[in-house]
Amino acid sequence: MLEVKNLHASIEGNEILKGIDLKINRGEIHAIMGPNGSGKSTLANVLAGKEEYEVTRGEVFYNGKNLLEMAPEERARAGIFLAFQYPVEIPGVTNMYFLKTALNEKRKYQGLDEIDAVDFLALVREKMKVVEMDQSLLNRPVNEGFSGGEKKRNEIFQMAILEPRLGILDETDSGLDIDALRIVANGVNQLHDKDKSFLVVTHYQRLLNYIIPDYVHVLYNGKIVKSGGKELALELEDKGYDWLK
Amino acid sequence: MKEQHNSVQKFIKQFETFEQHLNGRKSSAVHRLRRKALSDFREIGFPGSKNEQWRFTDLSALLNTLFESHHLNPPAGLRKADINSFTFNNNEIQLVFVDGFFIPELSDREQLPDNVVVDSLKTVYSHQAEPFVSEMENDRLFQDDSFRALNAAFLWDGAFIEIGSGVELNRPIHLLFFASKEADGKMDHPHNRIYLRKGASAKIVESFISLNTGTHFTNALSRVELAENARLEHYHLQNENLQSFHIGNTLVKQDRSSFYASTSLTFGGKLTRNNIVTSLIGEGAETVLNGLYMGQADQHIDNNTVIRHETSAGTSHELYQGILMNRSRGVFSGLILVQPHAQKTDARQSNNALLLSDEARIDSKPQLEIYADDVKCTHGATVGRLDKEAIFYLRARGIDVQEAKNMLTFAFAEKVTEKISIQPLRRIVESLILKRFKTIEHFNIEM
Repeated sequence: MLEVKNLHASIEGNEILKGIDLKINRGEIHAIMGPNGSGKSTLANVLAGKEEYEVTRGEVFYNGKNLLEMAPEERARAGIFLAFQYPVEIPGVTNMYFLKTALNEKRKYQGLDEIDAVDFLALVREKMKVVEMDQSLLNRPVNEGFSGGEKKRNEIFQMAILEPRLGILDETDSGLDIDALRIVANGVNQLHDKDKSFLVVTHYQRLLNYIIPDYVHVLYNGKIVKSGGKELALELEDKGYDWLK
Repeated sequence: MKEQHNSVQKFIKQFETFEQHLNGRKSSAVHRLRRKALSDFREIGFPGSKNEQWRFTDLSALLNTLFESHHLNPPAGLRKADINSFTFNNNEIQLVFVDGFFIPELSDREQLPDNVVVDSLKTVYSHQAEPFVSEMENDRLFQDDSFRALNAAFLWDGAFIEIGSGVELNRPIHLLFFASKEADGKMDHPHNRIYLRKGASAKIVESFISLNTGTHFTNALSRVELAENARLEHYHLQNENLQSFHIGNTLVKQDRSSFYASTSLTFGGKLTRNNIVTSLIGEGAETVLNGLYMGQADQHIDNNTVIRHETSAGTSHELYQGILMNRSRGVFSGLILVQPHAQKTDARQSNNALLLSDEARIDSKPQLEIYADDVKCTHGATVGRLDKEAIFYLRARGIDVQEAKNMLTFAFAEKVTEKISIQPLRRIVESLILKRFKTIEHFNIEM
């Protein structure tokens, strides 16, 4: 589904990713771990199409298409979803309006009609339960005045509505207490099926107690220095990152 | 200086033509007032480039154009169907003016409550010139301002509104000022007088609309007086064509515990200057000045506000939001004056401009003059572009880049439009914003 080949990317002339190779098949959950500054978030953002990053070398294929040639919105419509590490506050645009617009863009791309108001409301009600989201947040402007935990839940809620084929979680666990972490992980697990893949970027192992990865990759200084199964995460928890340097 | 002199002469010549058409009415008290205003205008002339109040607004395009005064024949042929889309279409009280003339057939004053007068000013002063004339003379409105002096010199018609003590008017009063297809090259000087007596409350909307595409000049003035505990929501919607010139003066006097809220909405005009002066002369009065302006092409929109806290415990809140596209230019000058006796004043001002192209420009000049010591005054100004992070966030959810920008721009405007309490007006304004999104020359597609 996703194939990253020798990906190099830089921002303002500083090379952050220095040759990443990664292959994610349909239905798989991959975790990317690594110390701060290793390039984890850069990888997540480059895959979502953030334009501040310049891809200097390498290729990314998504379901056979050249991902790097697609605009961020095209990537999203084609099923890539980035759950942001720092979700942006958007004053004046309500969550409901935002979500409906986003969903309809995707439906348009799939050749479907716009969702009608009743169906949309039913969908929202159903998905709210997945992340135990408070209804009052729906009519507020996107993320405005939300607590850290509410913002992260809102990301997973959006993901539940948009049902991506590849969900990228960029340190979704950071700043969450154990209850919120469980709720977020539970949301991801409910969405996961044999057709949907996830790339979980995290600094700590604890999220992976709840979201069980098929593969764990260690990113260090812009390169994947080690890959393994879920037990690699435990090893990292035990030994830290230093032994890999 | 020479050019200045020529422009003044042009207007004086127009006054003479206007005067000739007045025939027998030349000896009336109102006409003596006009002549007095003209002589003031002759003395003041037009503001020069060194005038601080006009530092950012170049009047030469306006002054170099020759505008004819009223043709003194009401324009014919406008039907209700032609103006329906500009009205609220429910149960508002409506006065329609076309090229400066009151058109009773297009107006609607059914079922006015007792103690409410909504009429054409000309009807009122033709019937009885007092107390209007002495009020104008005492008011010193035109002694120190060229455009106010011109408004008084060419005084013809406008609205006269009086809401009696304790009357709470539920229906909005809508004043519509149309420039007809025959208005090319013409000027119009509407003059409105609005009085809310003790405890009265009302909502008044002034709409300025061009039905022509040629250049014309509107020089409007509204005098507002709020007695004790009176409450007025006052809206100005200006959507004249992009060749037109618009000078607006709104002068407000507020007595004790009165509430005045102005919402200034500017979409049209090649050159617009809105002056609002509110004087809080009674204790505990409250002023709210909200403004939204949206410039495109080569539009120049200048908002100049003065809030005079003359006595204690007054409150003023001001919020202006500007959206500037293409090569348009905005100016915001906001003076908050707190006089020595105005203790416990609470004044807040905020003006924000969104520049959507590299060539757009805003000049912003907040000014606090405070002569009292126990006051709370704050002001803030921001100039910015759309938040790149927010655009990316929306795009990352599948929303088209242009749509993302529109959503954020709309949200920026909504800080003002959400305060519009007349729903049909809010819908008109929102559709004007959305229409702009479709006609943008280039909406800064590059991030």
